[in-house]
Amino acid sequence: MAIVEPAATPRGGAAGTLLALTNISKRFQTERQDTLALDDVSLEVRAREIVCIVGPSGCGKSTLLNIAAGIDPHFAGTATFEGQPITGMARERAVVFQEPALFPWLNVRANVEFGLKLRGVPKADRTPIVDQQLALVNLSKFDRAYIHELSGGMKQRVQLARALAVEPHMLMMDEPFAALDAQTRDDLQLELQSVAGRIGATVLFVTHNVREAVILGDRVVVMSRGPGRVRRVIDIPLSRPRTPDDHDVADFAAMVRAELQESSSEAEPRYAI
Amino acid sequence: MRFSVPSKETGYRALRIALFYIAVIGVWWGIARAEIWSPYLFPAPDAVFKALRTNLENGQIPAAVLASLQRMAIGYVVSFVLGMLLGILIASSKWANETVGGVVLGVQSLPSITWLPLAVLWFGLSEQAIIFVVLMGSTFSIAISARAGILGIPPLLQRAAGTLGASRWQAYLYVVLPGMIPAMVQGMKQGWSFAWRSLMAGELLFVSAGLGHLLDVGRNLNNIAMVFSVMFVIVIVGVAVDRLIFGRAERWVQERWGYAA
Repeated sequence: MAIVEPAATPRGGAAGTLLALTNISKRFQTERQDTLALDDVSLEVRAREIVCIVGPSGCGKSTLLNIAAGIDPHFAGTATFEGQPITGMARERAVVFQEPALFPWLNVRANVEFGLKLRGVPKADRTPIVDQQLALVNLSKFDRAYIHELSGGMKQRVQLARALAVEPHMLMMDEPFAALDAQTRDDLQLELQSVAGRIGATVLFVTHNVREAVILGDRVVVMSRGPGRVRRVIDIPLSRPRTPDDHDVADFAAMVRAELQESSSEAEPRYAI
Repeated sequence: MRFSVPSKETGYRALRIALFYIAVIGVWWGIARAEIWSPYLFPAPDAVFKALRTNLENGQIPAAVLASLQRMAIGYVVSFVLGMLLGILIASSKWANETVGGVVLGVQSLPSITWLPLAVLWFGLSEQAIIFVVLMGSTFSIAISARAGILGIPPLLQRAAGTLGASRWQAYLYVVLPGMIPAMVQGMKQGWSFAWRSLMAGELLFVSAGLGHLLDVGRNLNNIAMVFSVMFVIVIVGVAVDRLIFGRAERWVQERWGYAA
């Protein structure tokens, strides 16, 4: 998979750094409100690591992901990917969204094929790639199904396969499992670890679920809100696959949670005014 | 989910429907036989079927169907192009929506046969005049549904296409155009029925050839059976187009989106 390639030949920044966000600030201005969503946030993601951003709602974690993905090009600071400034959306940074952003008029196979078709990959070459991606997310049997016939978990697996099919250099995931039931969420966390491990994917994963961040992340970025800042970056040096029931996972989760609680109690006076 | 396996239930259903129509024809025949109204005002079913056969065999009805459908086809295709362009314009520009959009909504409420006097003044008693009326019948409902279709597409889908490498026009071609299909099917169906009605009215009023004109010929000949048979043909053509074209399109949408268009 080409996902591994950039790691071997980093084109810019520190060795192995894919994504570099430096002093990012973002202000949302409406007629009635002026909110500082991100205040001087810096973050680096190295090749082949999974970085989870965790924080309360409103801490700007999704905003940060949108900036990194190129969905939101209006911000202050420097955002580079493989040494090049991020100016817009690109398939090198494919995104898996929280809502199943799939095309209802296409069946599962055609959804996964979508990005390849855009690039003009001939049909004969597309088919084996799609087969491989569908096998990777255990959806081979459902390739002719339409989106409304799938469960929530299956839809997210299709999104993952569709993103992986374009051979992104980095995968952006914006709370992809937040709307799923607990059982499906556990399954998909395991599945993502195994898929990412097998293809050596680099992932930026946003979640508000502390345990999920600890299970998936090689590093967990804890953010606080009002304004959104990086509070602490915690390394999670645990072996994989990790499950929610691991004691070590629980310990690290407790540590992250304590950090979040501390930040919210510090933030309190801001709201008391 | 529905399965189209022929079952005992669907067999009974066909029987019920057949019995209903037999009953309708029976009552009709009974009333005609009672001669409450004279036969040249209220024909018996057999007289109507005889008229239908005569006019099918002498080629009057096939020629009229062909003439009407030809006008519909020309008017409808032009109105599809115009309606799409208009809909895309008012969906993509706030300014156009506030100005042109308002006019479109207003004109849509105008029964399109009311364009006929204007069309006659502009184009004379000509083919263009009747096609103009057909066009005015369907253009605006197609425009309104195109606008609704575009605005109804979740912005997230276009964003998803962008993150998969779609350029702006690729996003338009591969997301906006297919995404607006459910709304378009509804709008095109409505546009067709508006256009069909106004075509019949227009043909009845002045133009030669076509089913509406044949209806008027029947009236002039005092041939009530012929009038009935032409009305019957108008219904058949309408239902056939609805079932064959729009019914198929609706099933296509239902299969993919999981809801009726």
